[in-house]
Amino acid sequence: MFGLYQMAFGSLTWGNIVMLIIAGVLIYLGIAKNFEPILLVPIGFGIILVNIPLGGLMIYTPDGFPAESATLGQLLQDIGSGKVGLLNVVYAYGIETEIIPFLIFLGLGALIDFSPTIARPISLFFGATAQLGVFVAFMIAYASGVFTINEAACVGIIGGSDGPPTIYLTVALAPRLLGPIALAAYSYMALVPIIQPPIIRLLTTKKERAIYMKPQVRRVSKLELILFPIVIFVVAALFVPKSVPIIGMLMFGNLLRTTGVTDRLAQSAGSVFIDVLTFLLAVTVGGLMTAQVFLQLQTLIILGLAAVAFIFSTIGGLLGAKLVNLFLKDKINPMIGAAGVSAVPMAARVVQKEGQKANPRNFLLMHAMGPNMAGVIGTAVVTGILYGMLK
Amino acid sequence: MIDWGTIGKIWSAYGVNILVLVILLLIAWAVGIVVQRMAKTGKEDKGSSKKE
Repeated sequence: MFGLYQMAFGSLTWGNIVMLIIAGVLIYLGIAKNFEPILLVPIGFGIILVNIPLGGLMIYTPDGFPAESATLGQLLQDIGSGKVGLLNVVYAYGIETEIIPFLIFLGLGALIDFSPTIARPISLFFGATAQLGVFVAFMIAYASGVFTINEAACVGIIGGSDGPPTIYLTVALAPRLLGPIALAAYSYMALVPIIQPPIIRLLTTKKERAIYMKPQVRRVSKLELILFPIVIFVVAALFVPKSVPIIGMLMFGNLLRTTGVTDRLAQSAGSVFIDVLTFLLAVTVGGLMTAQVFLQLQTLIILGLAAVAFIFSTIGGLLGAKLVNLFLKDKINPMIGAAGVSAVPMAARVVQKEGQKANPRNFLLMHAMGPNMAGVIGTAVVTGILYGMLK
Repeated sequence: MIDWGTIGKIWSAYGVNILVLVILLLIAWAVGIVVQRMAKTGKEDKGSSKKE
């Protein structure tokens, strides 16, 4: 007979209850506030899935790592006997192997239009300087003594404000922290419209924010659009070979978009394909957040440092644009540097909004999209460099 | 104790990142100029052959 001891109530801990509340908050923010709903809703539900005791969707080892099976045959047996759960399979074969983050980057490439970056190549410089937060957050994390050097690098990469590279690096260097780091990265991306404006206003004068830029950027030819992903990939890969998987996938996806003869592939990669992968990634990341793993001092520090990383990345982008302005006759609006934080397209929208506040004639969106896209390349390069140094 | 040597080593990655992206910038800029010139030359050639 089914008895009380078979129900989950007896095994429910305070930690589980706290995690269920956190999940509720994430789902609320996604649905009611429209904060990155595509990610926060599945992450929130993933948290619920693993914090109901005895559910068995994600089984953990006593060290807090997801349980694994040595072979595929063993895995099938272990699923049957309840030694591993369904999310363990997605984690082991999709995330731990890095397949899902790579393929998401392919889909992302198929969605990205690099025209604004090609029209104003200096955007790539802002995409580079806007990685400042990665290194500031790394330094603080490492100096705190709470994190190892590999863990500190993964905390830092949150400042790149790009999900797949963050997951790629964390799975490789500090898989134990994947849950909190992925959550921090995606949550703070949603908070870009709140984090960036005060920093922009603090570091720029009203006169600088009002600098007028003609709304149109140069028209980019089809040949340039095709050459850009190939050339950028080859050169970046030669300098930073460890960035090949991410930049390679990004640029491959982009090439599918630009050739004009592979539209079907580009459309597939940029729609249902990326949606399915994002859903699997997000729900599994949520599944990594059991009370035992998540409710630790490290998580709080990661959430704090993520804010530091985003703030300093914004500062880096702004300072990069101000530096370039020293050498330009026709000054650019330095706010577009802040869009080098690759949270696409939120950072560019923030610049557009702030630009209009300072000068209603200004329409900076397309100018800001250049650094925004360059930030994606910048984060991929930084990820490759850190991977090469620390793995 | 903080290992400043390691911190310095990681910070050098920021410099490398800027350097790589500046190289990409120069290449993207050069490719842009070449392609635009090619397009311009192509248009002029077409124009002159129409005149003839």
